[in-house]
Amino acid sequence: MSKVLIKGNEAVAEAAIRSGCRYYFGYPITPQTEIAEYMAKKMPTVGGLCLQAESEVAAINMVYGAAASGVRVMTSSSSPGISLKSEGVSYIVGCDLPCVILNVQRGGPGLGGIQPSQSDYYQATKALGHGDMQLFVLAPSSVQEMAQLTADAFGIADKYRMPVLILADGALGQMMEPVDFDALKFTPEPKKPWATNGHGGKRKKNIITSLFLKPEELEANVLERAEKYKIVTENEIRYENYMCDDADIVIVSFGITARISKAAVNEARARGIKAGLLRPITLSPFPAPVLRKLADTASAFLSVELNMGQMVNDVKLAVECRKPVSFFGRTGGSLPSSDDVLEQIIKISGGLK
Amino acid sequence: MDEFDAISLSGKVVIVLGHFGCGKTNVSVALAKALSHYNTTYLVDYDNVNPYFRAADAKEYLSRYNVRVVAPEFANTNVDIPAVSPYLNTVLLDAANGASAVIDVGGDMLGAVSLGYIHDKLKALDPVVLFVFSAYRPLTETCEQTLAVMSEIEQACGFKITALVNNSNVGSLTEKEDIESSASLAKELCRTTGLPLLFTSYMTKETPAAEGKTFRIENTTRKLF
Repeated sequence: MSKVLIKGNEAVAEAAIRSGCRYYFGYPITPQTEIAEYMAKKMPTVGGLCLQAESEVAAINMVYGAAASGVRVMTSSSSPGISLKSEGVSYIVGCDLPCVILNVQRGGPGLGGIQPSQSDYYQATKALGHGDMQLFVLAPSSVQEMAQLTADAFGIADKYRMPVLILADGALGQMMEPVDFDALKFTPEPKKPWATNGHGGKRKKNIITSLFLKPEELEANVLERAEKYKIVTENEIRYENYMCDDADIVIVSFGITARISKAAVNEARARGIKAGLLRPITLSPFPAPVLRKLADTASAFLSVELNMGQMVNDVKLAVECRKPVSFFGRTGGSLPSSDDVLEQIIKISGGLK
Repeated sequence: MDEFDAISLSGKVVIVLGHFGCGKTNVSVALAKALSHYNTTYLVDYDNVNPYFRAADAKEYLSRYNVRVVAPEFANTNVDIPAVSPYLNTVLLDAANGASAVIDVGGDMLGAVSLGYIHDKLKALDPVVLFVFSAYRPLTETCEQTLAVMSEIEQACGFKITALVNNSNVGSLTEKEDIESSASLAKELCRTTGLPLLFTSYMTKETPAAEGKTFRIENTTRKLF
């Protein structure tokens, strides 16, 4: 299986299995059901378990239990289903457990639609659950990257004992692209001495809980986790810099829209407009230091998203009002064309002169 | 080696089955287009499993060839629920009177199972039942895996597959050599099942070398961006 034509959803499932994930719990929802389909077929052949839970809430709590026992585990859903999982995600964070969660975003709010969207950016990066918490959020932009970031997600989750959310969308989940699985890099699973997998009378018992009745204890726990987030931000920011170094206009765009924006950057360059693309690969931690530095050289920023303008606010915070930041996006399941993005670039560049 | 002539299928009902993502829809659209030169032709979008990419996407393209596309009423809307077109009976009646009909069924046994709804009516029309495969799709890369999928599909829909179609490809990056190296899987499948290979389909600029017929198809998949 070196060269295959594969859907983004299937690529995630295959990469997860190759990463040593042997437990998948989920509940069907378009446009991500192929993951459960694939897992149901493949897991029994590798000695793993794929279980269709009775609901999203049940599925995330099964992930909670499996993660506590020290195995690599994942769940997946699409926007409305991810909302249902949020309580469980908060518990998993509160217990410092590693797991991988995939959101193949569709249009919202509510039942919304089944076409691609990036309107869960706020939910993913600000508050997928209650409490002082953050997730590690990865944003793939191709089917090959869907596979590689899934492999990376298991390593990151284990390293920092925190849930990693892969924020994809209906387009990435459904479209087929060639993937080279032999090119994937994997992180070996570390020992998990904290796991509740039976002490056999040979060690002290491990306790995994998110309940702290004494305020001082909870505060210490939250402070310790905040330290971890600081280390993650220092060490794990990832991005793609495409012709930003001499760019007047820097487009900030992630996932599927970054591909459209890249085409627009090329077209702008062909017209003599110095445009560039900064593609965050980690949405949390957000590549704010990189944008802050680009504000020294760029004249304007444009955030392109499949929503009404969410990441644009993180770009503004990063740029610290030193340069104008504008927004362009479509929502409800429609995607902008590269010509639409180019039109925005031309408009901004006209305003510069 | 020569190009497949769809006249051999004219006036018949052609059921197109296969694994998810093997290219059933592109093959179905190409067959409907080719059949339209001979006779009244229908393309039935019978995919009740995956609403993202479907034969209904090719409606405009096929209208240029007067192919009548029959798709679920709410295909490509946000209420794209599993449903069968109310015009299906028209197709079956017309097919009984000599029209050609290509039925593009959803992937795997999950897609095939809904054929049960029109099983008896279809059976009476003595359909050609095609199984499309691609050597570059996970879960159908080996003969053994492909045979398992074939058997599941046959059990789910109650039809025996009558011929194979080799649609091995890696999307836009497909080279002629990729198709040519899939010939060994095609050969092994034909030998094990005793079924004929109807054609090897291709989108590459150059025609691949293949045992038996080749058939040029086009990519009519909906572009998301």
